Amino acid sequence: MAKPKIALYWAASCGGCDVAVLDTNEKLLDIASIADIVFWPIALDFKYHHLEAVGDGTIELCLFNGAIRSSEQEKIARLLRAKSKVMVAFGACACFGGIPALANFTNRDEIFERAYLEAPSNDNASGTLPQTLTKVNEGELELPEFFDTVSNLDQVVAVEYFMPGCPPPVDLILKVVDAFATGQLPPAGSVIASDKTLCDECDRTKEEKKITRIYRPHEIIPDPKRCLLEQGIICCGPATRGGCGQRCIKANMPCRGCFGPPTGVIDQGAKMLSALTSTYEASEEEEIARLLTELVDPAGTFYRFSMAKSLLRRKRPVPVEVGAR
Amino acid sequence: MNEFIIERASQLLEDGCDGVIGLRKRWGHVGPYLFTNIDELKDLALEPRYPLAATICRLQARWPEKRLGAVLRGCDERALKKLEERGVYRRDGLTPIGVVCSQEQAEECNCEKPVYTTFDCTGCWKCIEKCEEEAITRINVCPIVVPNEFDQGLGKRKAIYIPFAQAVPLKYTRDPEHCLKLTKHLDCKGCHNVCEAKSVLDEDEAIEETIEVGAILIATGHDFFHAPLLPQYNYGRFPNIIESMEFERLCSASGPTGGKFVLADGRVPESVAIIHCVGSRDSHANSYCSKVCCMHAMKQAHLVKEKTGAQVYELYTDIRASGKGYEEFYERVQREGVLFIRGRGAEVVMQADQLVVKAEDTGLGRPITLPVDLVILSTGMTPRRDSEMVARTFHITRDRHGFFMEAHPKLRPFHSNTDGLFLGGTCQAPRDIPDTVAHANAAAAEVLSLLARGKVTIEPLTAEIDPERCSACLICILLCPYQAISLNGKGANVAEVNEVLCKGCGVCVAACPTGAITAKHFTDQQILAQIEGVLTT
Amino acid sequence: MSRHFEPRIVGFLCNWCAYSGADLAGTSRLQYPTNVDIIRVMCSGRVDPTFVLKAFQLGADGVLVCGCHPGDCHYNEGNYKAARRIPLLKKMLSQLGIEDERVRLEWVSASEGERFAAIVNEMTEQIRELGPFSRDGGGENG
Repeated sequence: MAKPKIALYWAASCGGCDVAVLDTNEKLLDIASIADIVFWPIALDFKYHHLEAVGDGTIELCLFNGAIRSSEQEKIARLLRAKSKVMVAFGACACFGGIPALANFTNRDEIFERAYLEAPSNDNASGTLPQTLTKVNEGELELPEFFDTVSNLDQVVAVEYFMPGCPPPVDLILKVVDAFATGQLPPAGSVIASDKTLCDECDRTKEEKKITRIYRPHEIIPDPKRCLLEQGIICCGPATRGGCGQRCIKANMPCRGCFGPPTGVIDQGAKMLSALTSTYEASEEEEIARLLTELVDPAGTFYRFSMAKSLLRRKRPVPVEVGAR
Repeated sequence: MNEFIIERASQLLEDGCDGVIGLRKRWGHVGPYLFTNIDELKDLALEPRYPLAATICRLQARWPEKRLGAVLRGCDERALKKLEERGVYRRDGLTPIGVVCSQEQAEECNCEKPVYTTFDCTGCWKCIEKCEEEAITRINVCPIVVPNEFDQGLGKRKAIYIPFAQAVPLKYTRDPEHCLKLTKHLDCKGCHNVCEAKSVLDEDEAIEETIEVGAILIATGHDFFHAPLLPQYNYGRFPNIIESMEFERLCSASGPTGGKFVLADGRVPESVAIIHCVGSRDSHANSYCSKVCCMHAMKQAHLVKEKTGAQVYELYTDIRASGKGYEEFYERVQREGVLFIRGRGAEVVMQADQLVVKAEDTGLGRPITLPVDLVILSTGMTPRRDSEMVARTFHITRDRHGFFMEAHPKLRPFHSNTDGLFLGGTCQAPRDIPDTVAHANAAAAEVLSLLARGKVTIEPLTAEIDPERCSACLICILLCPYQAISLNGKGANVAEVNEVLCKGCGVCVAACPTGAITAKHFTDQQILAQIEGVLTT
Repeated sequence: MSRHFEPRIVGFLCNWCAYSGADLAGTSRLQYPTNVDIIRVMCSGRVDPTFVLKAFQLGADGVLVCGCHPGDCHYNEGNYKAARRIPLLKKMLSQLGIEDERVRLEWVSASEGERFAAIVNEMTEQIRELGPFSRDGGGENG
């Protein structure tokens, strides 16, 4: 009997999710022995035409990490969707946009300006910018189109399962592979993590949620036994799905929200903002003004991993006058 | 004992005495000293005995016009009495502060005269019978005298006292601020010794008790506007400018003057001005009308007329006489000759020893000046000074003037916004006696009805926490103004809403970062659907 | 910006003060623009920042949140929570390119019908000046 086919792909990604798969160590060999990996750019030398040649719907499982921000990534996402029975949005970027989605605070023009023209280490006197189509003597060269807005995977194609995390922890990866191997898959649309937030998992002592001052993580050395939020450090744990093993908390660092919003929360940033401001002690105008100065970058802090999936998705584009560049 | 004597001596010096004669240790031995400075008094010595009578006579002869105090023991007083008989000593030039000798001193002196110490006195009163000079009286043996609050400071009371003649219960109570024993100045047993019922406790400490109740009725009453806040009336600067409550005590038979209405120097006034709306209907003080002052000002005018026949002017803004018989009383008072002038009293000044009230007479359309003997300021009703603390303790909202806020001004004037907490009387708004009785009675009836029902109906707009979602982050717990959320520690550690306490404000729902709390009938889904509805038509 | 554009403003009004105040504006026959669509909540503290974002996502040009004056909240302190949430939300929204004037937090008591009408008037004109929230398909991939 032919071995089931698996594919892995990285879109707008740092590579960390692939490293996480490699972190399964010798279990990877077990996976390789029970399944056929037909596509995995970081590790195997398959080309796109190999993927196109695979029959539709014949790939049993596709682990897709990274956000979608170029036409190439969109194309491969759609291709993989056609070829796969089950698509898994693997990692925070594929699930909600991740760090790449912070680019939604800007746009292509500003990014190109900075990367290709402004950056001090550039040597680009002619001001060359990437073009989607360039004619050279030998013919035409194509580059993928760079989108203004970063999307997460299920904004482009249908997705069966979500594995959040930056990257997903090894034990969750093995859980998925196991479920697959034994055929005991959760219902479609599930998020492979805890149904509660990180607070449920966190074993620090919680006494009273009353914050009088917000500290940035470098400003104080937090008590490793007490809830970080109660010490004034912004921990997104209350608004973040659990299941990560409280890795950051154990390292005495606050949660940054990489497991995304829990079930039933449609905008992680809004909820974290609501929770934090509700518990901050301030009634007078000066106290509220102080809160505003202490919280330096609310959008970046609360939407660090979930900008693409938030309600507004991106910064409002600036109106362009007709006739301008 | 020493501190007490020093305090009394300081008081004498403050009151204008030129000096207090006492004993002071100087150059190795104790001798007489004229204390002229309060700072020196810390060196006051009481023993050993030094006879002071001769010293006092010499000082009196040298400075006959000076007012002096003296710390005297019994033998000094007896000596001075003998000297007075011989004409060498004048009693009225000296204010004595009596001291009692210790047992050791009495034994050393072989003092054969009885020593009266309040500490050990058993109150048998045999000494009263024996004393031929009748120098001992069976008085309320409390040595402390302070101004009487009920008499608005115009009269005096002891540190053990009945607050006022109609107090319920009609029992004496000790003043913890001034009683020598309660303030731990002295083991004074004055009242303890004379009490026949033996009901004065030796050890008296506050006990805290927790009582579970089903309803609370707040009837903490009101205060009056503090007249010095309006400096144009010069209250406290010139004599014979009094607040309406002071007038009440002056003309009360149980008050400090026994009901005689007189000026500060004892003369009977011939003209009195009553200024309405002091601190009320005033953008610089309180904007509301205090409701009761027009009527009590008229009553006071009537009493002044009755007691003294003086000319009474009432300077009013509007006459509010809306109760039963009130308008008729207004007419009667006018017939009695009280002059009602429409115009707010603007200023009270002193012109060459004469009090003058300046006002505008809107009827005449010009300013007037009224020279009077006495001015009564009808100060308005205000919330009590401690109402902020009471409001916070019981979670009562206060309106913008500081009175406790009713649930609905028309339909629920004696309910507060918290179920089971009711408001009675002037703590909620200014009102007179019949209205207060009705209001408080209604609140009491509501309490009875609530308790008799045995069941409480609550609004269905409560919040509910899904235990499957709640991660016990504790963010909601402190947000609830009714403390309706707590951790349900039964194994599964999740938060739980007490449906009876929850009022459905939804603050916890909006704050919950897990989305675990639902606001019944105002769910997120319902509101989001409304948003969608209004924007996509 | 175009003067003919009619702003669509979503208003979240608390039941006890602001909603009654708006009611009073109505019964007093005060004239004010129809640009605000009112959604009643029990307390201004119920207003989740998610609602504000949803309103903008669905095309609102502005959001108005009205509650009781500080100290007068029917539930004691709900409006204080709103007083903390909304300013920080506005700061976050400004990072997302949304002008400060598009979200407004006001205190309106049950007796302030005129004040409510004035606020609606002022806000409508302000947003008319600012222009519509989304422009020409902006906000999606482009």
